Amino acid sequence: MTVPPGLRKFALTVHLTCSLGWIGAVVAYLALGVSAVTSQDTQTVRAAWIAMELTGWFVIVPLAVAALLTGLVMSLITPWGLFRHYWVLIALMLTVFATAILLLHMPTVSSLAEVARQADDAALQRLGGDLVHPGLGLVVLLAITVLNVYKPRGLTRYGWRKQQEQRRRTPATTGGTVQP
Amino acid sequence: MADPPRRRDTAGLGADRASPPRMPRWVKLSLILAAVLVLVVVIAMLIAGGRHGPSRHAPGIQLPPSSVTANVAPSGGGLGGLAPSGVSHR
Repeated sequence: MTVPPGLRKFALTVHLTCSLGWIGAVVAYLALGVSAVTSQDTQTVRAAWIAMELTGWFVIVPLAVAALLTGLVMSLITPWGLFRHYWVLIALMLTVFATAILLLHMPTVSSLAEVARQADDAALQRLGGDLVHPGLGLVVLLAITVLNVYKPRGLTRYGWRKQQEQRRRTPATTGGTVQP
Repeated sequence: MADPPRRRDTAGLGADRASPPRMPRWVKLSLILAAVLVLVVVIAMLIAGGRHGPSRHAPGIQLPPSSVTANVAPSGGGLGGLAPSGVSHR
């Protein structure tokens, strides 16, 4: 799909904002999780869990869904495609995986936040935090970022086939870019 | 993603060949790494008795039940479900 450069830049801006915002929100969530684990102050633990729930549902989930959707849009409006290059394919799979785990995980966070709202001091001290999921999620998001920046080479079979078809259609084209 | 692929990006791995390109080494290594990580997570979950979720990973933290809200439901007596036995079981 061919779109004007201005529109493509705008889509890229939205995609980058959502993706990097997702990473920043996970870092903030992780800080709250660490606080819930390490703090001896029960009010801090309670506040951390409530903030984790709010951050999760109202910041991380929207940003994750937006990053996934805008990534799909970017694959459609740029020559990269969705299944033509391994790095795009892997980035897509990792994004879908991270979003799915996030959506499956958040109800549990809500449950624990509800506990934190009502728990007494002794129960709050045992509540702990949430470190592994956001920690691993952050690693996955950073891996996706690295893929997007470095764009390691490698055509999929589908991408190679599409490229061959295109070359058969336009054999005279020798430009610097490969249009799908 | 907006930067269009350059010719060099694709030609080096078989774009000009008659046969489909082979899977790049970095993809194979990534897949192996992912498989190992999945295996480690599965083994860790099996060792933990299949339990999973927040607070189960933090060291020294007692594990809440999977359906925590059931313990704070009105029928459970308000905060009664948060008694030590309700939080530290499993």
